[in-house]
Amino acid sequence: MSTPQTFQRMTQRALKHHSFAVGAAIVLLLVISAAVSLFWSPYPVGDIDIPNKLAGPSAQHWFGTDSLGRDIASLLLVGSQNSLLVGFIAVGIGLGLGVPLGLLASAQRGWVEEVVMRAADFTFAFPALLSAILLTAIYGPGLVVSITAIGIFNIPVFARITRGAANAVWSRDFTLAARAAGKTKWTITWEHVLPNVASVLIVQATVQFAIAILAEAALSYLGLGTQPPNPSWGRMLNEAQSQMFQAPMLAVYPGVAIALAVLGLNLMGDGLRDLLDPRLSRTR
Amino acid sequence: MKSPHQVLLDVQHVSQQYALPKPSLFAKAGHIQPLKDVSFQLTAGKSMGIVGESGSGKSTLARLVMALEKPTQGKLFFNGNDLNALPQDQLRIARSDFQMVFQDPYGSLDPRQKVLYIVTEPLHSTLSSGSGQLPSTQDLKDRATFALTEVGLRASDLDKYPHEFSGGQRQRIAIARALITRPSLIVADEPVSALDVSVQAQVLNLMMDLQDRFGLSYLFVSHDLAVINLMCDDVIVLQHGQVVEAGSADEIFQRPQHPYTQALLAAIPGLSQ
Amino acid sequence: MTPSNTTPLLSVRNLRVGLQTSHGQLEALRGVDFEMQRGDTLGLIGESGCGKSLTALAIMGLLPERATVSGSIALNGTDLTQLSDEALCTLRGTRMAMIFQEPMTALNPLHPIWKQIAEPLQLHQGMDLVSAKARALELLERVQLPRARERLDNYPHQLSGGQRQRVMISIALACQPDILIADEPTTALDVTVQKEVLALIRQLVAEDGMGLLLISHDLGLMRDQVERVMVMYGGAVVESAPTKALFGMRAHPYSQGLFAARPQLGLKRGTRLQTIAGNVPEIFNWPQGCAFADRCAYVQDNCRQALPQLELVPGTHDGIDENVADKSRRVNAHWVRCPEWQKLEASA
Repeated sequence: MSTPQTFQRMTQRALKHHSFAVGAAIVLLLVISAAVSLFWSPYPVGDIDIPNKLAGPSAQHWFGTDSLGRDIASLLLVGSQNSLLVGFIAVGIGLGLGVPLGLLASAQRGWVEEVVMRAADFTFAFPALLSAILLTAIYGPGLVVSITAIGIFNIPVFARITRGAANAVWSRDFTLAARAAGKTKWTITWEHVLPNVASVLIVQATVQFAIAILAEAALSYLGLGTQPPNPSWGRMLNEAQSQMFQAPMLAVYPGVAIALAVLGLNLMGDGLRDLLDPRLSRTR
Repeated sequence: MKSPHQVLLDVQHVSQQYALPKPSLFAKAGHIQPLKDVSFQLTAGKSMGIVGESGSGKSTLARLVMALEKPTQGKLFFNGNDLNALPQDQLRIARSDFQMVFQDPYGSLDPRQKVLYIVTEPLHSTLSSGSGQLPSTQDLKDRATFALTEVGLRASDLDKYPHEFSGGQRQRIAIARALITRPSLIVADEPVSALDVSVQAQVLNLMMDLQDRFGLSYLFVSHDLAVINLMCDDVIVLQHGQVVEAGSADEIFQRPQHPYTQALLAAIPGLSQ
Repeated sequence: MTPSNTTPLLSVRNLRVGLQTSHGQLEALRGVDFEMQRGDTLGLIGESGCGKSLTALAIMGLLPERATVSGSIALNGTDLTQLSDEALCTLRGTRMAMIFQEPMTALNPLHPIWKQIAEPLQLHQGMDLVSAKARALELLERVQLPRARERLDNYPHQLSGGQRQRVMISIALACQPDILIADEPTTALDVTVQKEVLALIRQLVAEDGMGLLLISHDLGLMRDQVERVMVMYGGAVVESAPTKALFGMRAHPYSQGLFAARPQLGLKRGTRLQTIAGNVPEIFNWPQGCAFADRCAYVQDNCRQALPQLELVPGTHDGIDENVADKSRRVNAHWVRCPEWQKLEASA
């Protein structure tokens, strides 16, 4: 079976899997919104239109306007860029630094493994959100600081999970065969261990992506994340609080957006776990 | 090909010890000793069987012979070289002369790699090719095709993944991988134990054919006495890490001296009648 | 021949099992028939994918959710295929018991062994904890577990493979079942331990007058342990005979191949083993008629059209002849599922 055929078979299987199909569709919607919003949104997000504030949904404003008359649809659309950016970079930091650490710990064992795992434990000991707040208190609030804070807490997650999965791969005979062929630990890690832990990492990455979105929303809600005038779903929630009685729907839109993004990612992650693991563990 | 009667593998007083995890922070760590003072010699062109049950140390011995571990005591000489005294790059060159086939056909092949990669893996290390240069892609492919046809598979199998093959076919792939550097010695650790009877017969026949064709020696580890008797000229019997009996296969199986060997022979099912 | 008037212990008639696979619904068992009386020992032999384990699971009612079963499985006259899962639960562990290949995975690593033995006693016989624990000790002593009293509180990982298998046997025998099904019970054990465990099973089965259905891939084992052997291939029984008769003469080409392929101690070094051409086909590649057709040296057109019927080897009889004094020779039917068998060189 050549590679294009396998890919086709895989895609067909993937689309039949309900969790994955729904999740992927939602995530795709998210990505398309962000992409589209780079070039166009119904209204520029900076446009304040006080006379039209707190308007309900209409032909001109699909979701209505907020307390400053800004178009909610536009805010949601552009805000998705924010969420995706945070997800990618935070997970990217986790993968980029956490995975090599995990692979190192697993390949070296002994004191190296101990040091890496204790460092991970140490980082886990800090409550993530509070530490993020601490960092913004030191370096000032903003997108960059909040991404960094969230990213730092992804590192031990990926380090731990990589080490566990890598240990399982090292115990299998084909790594022994590679050593018998004269390959160094590092070559084996790159050629054998990494491809065999990839599926676990992909699934974890989708989960961490969702967590990153939630974390950013929480920080923005507290005013520590993306600063105005850049739109953020979390800050929209905060702003909606003061309008709870006049326009309760203002909180619903960003809330649903966050929930939908997290749901989509989790469903996709569940689906990926089912699709990727049984194929690998299937022995006959 | 080696000249006959040359000593290929010389194992001298090899012992292996592992430290157990400490039961508590200040307690002393315990030890286990899977091998105690094991010695034997393997002559070029002949095969040696290592008989043992679980806990006998046979798999540890196989790993030591393959220089995948260092013994706590003793030396192992291959072609006159002390394997554990060689510098890394020389060891890598030496490895092309001894290869291994593992027990589990499902664990010994990387599920993420194609057969072409798997079979040519021993050639990947630049130095092991001997010429100092990385073999070309075409060269690798040609050698892989040749190895596969030697074991009864086809060139079209190069492009497939392990999960597309049955247990017996996977063992053939593992044997092709072991053959690709034209080694003098193949260490086979229970190579047919996980296979069905009819498949086992095919693989054993293949191993015998390859031995005739290439003048290979086998270090054949197994618990199955009938298989050892078929494949091996000489035998050592391991119990709890020690050699309890050694000799030619005919001597050991027809006139066993040690009670453990006798017990093993008596325990073979189907012989009581 | 006077057919026996007593209800057979186990009567399997035209058992067919369909499985849901990635290639659709496929028939994995194609009509298995056999009968067992109390005290009979029957062996099922075959290679991977032949359906021997599936037969055992079908009897116990432990097939996967989406498996379809047709035919009848009568235990002491009751058709198990007609029973609900709850009704089957009352029979499992009490009237029929099974032991498996891997004792480490068959035992719960989190419970001490006395608790696992006591479980069926409490569940099916309503024993209280104290009596159940006492009975567990008796059972462990009966399976000859050394130092049983001290070991009651041990966990599975503290025991060796052979000891774990003894524990599994005592769990199976706790409620004194009528039939014991053993699926490769010693494959994972060392050969010296294997001998002891099999001797134990043989002894217990004889003492209690149970029926024993032993599943294995090891021909030598069959010779020692069972009075009758059925050879399976491609979801059907291809040959069935008393053990002595089968070791004397094989009628089916597959059985001949299987026997010839074994390495035996007397062979000269370097002797090439006789092999069966080709490979065992996957379930989705089974030929229409006889599953062995693609590998058989004697195949004819009619072999491929439909699954051949079982024929009786002349000189043997169906049914039980009560007049024969030697119990082991009362049932000597030698069945073979091959229309061409008489043309073969019957090999010994």
